[in-house]
Amino acid sequence: MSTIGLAGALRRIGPLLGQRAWNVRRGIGSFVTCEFGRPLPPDDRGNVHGEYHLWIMMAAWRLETADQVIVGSEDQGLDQALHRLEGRPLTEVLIRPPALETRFDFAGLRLEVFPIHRRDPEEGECDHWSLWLGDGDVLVAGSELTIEPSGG
Amino acid sequence: MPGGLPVCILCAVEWAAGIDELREQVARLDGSTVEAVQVPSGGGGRFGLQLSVQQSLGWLWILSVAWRLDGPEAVLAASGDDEERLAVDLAVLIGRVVTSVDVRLPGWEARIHFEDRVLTIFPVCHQDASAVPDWTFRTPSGQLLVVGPGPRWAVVE
Repeated sequence: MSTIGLAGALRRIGPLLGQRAWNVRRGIGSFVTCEFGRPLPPDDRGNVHGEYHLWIMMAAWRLETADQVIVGSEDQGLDQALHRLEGRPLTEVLIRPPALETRFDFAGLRLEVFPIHRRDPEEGECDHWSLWLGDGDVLVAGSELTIEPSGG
Repeated sequence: MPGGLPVCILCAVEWAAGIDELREQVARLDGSTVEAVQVPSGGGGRFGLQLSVQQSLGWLWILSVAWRLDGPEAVLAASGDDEERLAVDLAVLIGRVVTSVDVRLPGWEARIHFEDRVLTIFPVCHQDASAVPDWTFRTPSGQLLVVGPGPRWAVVE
């Protein structure tokens, strides 16, 4: 694992911009997963991921436009609301220090991710989101931005 | 829960929706000082701040499951942290003055500034008006300002 600064993280995200989201799904509780890029061969469990795979986990979130909230992570109907992201291009990723609050903007539909954990690195991480980059690296937003080997 | 929210009160709440009027209401917090912090056992990250307002005491309760206290360089506390830790971490607010309160659209996020520290309350339940409010403020005069869940607020006498 190596720490990567905000500018470095945005550089790694760059190639993802403009790609369309597919298989946007709610996971356990209010976790969210989303694929980008061409589909990869199925993994050991038969799951098909994209070249890029986004996983939002230990964080609160809202799906909203500039002037309206569509759904919050504690609302009912998360599956139906998240389906609105299907096929939309990711147009901007905005990461705000110090907590690494993140906006994933899908052409005007915004997924606002709000970290709700404070962790010191020695206590073990509680990550807000991870992004598999398709080259064997995973960009992780926890108490800091890091690059980890996929499966590491 | 001192100065807190008896659940039965919510049955009779008449919700307001205008955010400008809410902003006027929350401006009454400006200049108040944090006197004490209370983190109830089993509260799921909820906590209360006792505020001195014009030589009287009121209680601000954060009831949302999503909030965070940020300093200029680091996160200081957050709703998902362990309770034992919250009581210690939130104590950094004692003696701090509320310098401004802002409520932002479209999510009705409240940002309460304590000088260079910012408490952000992030509403995540927008559809169900009967859900737990995001935060409340019991004024020294006994009024209860109820904000949330989501885009609604009320003053209960």
